[in-house]
Amino acid sequence: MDYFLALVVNGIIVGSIYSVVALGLVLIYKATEVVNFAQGELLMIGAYICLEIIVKTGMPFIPAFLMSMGFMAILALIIERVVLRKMLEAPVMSVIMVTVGIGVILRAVVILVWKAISIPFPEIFSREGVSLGFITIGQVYIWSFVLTLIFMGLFGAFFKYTRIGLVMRATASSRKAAESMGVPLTKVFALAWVISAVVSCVGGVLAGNIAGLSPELSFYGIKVFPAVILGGLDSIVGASISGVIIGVLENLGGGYIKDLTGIRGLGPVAPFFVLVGILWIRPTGLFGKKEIERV
Amino acid sequence: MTLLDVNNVSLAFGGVQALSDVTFTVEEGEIFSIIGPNGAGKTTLLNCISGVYPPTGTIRMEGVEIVGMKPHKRPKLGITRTFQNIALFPTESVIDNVLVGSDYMLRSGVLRTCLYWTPLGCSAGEARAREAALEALGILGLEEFADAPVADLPYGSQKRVELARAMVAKPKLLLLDEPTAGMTTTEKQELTEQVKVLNADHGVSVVMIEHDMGVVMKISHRIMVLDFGKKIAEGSPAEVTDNPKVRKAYLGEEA
Repeated sequence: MDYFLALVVNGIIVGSIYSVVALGLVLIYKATEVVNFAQGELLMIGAYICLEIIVKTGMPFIPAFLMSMGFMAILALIIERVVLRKMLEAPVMSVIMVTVGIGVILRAVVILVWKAISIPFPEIFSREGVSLGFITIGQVYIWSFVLTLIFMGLFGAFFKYTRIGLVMRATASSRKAAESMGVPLTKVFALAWVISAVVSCVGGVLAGNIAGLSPELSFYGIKVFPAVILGGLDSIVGASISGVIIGVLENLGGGYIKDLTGIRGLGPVAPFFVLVGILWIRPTGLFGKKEIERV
Repeated sequence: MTLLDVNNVSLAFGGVQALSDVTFTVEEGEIFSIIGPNGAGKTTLLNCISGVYPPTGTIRMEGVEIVGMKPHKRPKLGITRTFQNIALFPTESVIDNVLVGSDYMLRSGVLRTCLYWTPLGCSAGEARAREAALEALGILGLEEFADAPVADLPYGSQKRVELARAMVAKPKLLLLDEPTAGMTTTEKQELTEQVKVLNADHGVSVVMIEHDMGVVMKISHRIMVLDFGKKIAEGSPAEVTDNPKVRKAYLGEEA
C-alpha cells in the first residue's frame, strides 16, 4: 500500500509539470488552431537559459527564473513575428509542420551550445526528504508542485478575470466575430505564443531541477500529448487535470509493470494504452467540446 | 451627408463572379436595405464592407478608403456588424459578450492589467466599459440578463445580444446580416421596432440584408436589389416594388 501511495504521490508531482506544459499547448491550440510541436523544445531552451544565467552570473534562483521567462517571452515574440505571422493565411497543417521545424532547429542549437550531455541543475531546492506521514519525498518535488500550483492559479485567474483573458477566450470561440468587434487577431496570437513559451519555461526549469538538463528534456513536448488529447485539445481545465492523470498512470505503470514482468522503462507507454481506451469511449477527450456543425 | 460610398465593387471567387460593379451610397441617418434572391451576393457585399474579403473598387467610410484595411480596424471608424448565423461567444456571459465589443476603446495591455487597482492600471477604464456595456444592453432591453450565460437565452434574445455587442462601440454604421432570420413573428416585430429606435434615437445608420419583405418595406428608407452579383434596382420601397426587373428576379415574371 505504501508503495502504491508513493507511486501516486510521485505521479501527481511529475504530472503537475505535465499540466503546466499542457496548458501552453492548449492555449496556442485554442487561440490559433495550431498544435505546437515545438513545445518540448521551448521548455528545454527555457531550462538551459535559466541554468546558464545562474552558472554564468551567479544570480540567485528567483531573479534568474524571472529573467529566463522574460527571455522566453521575447523568443516567442520573435518566432511569432518572423515565422508564424507569415503563415497566417496558410493551411493549419503547414503551420504545424513549421512548428516541427522550429523544434528541430531549437534542439540543434541546444546540442551545439551545450552538447548532448546531461548537466545537473545547481541544487536550488534541497533533495533532502520530508516525511508526509505515509511517505517521504524530496523537498525539490514539493517545491516543484507548489510552484506549478501557483503558476496554474495565476494562469487561470488571468484567463478568467482579466479583459485580455476575455478577449483571448472570445477569439478562441469565434475568430470572425472577435475580429469584427475590433480585436486585433495578430496581437492575440502573439500573446498566446508568449504565454505558452513562458509556461513551458516554468515546466522546463522545474523538470530540470528534478532530473537535470539534457536535450532529452524536449521529450516532455511528446509526453504531454496524451495529457492534452485526454483532456480534450481545447479544454484548459481538462489539460490541467489530465496532466496529473498521465503522471500518475506513468508512475503506476512503470512501477508495477517492472515489478510484475521485470521489464524496465514501460512507464511512459502506459498512459498511451489508457489514452486509446478513453478515446474509444469519448473521442473528444474527457473535457473536449463536441464539434457541432450547423448546416 | 454621405456616410458610406461604395464604388464599382467587384469580387470573383475562381470563375464565379460574386459581385460585379456594384455602386451605391448610404446617407447619414438612413436605413438602407439590400435584398435579392439567394446567392445574389448580398452577404458577400456586406463582408466586403466589413473587411472579410478585399474586393476591387473602392469603399469609403466618411471619405476614408477601407478596402484592404483589416476587419478589426472597422469599429474605430464607426462600423460594426452582426452575423447571419449568430456569432456570439457561447461560453461567456451576456455582459462579457458585449464587453468584447467595447474592447478596442480600452488600453489595457498586459502591464496595466497587472497594475489593475493602481492609478496606472485599467480599473477605471474597465468600469467605464462595463457601464457602456450595461447601457447598450439597456437600449435593447436586456439588462436583467447581463450575468446570464448567453447560451441560455432564447434565439431571439441572442440576436439582440449580438445587436447590443455591435452597439456598445457607438457605431455610426451598423451592418445587419438577416437580423430577423429564424425569428417568430413577435420577435420579428420587436426587433424591427428596435432597429427603428437605434436609427431614430441613437443616430445609427443601418445597412441591412433581410429576406422578410414585411420588415424591409416597413423600416427601409431606401432599398437596393441585387441579382447574380449585379445591382438591378434601387429606390424607395414603393419604387422597388413596382420595378418590373425586380418582379422578374423574384417571381420569374416576364419583364
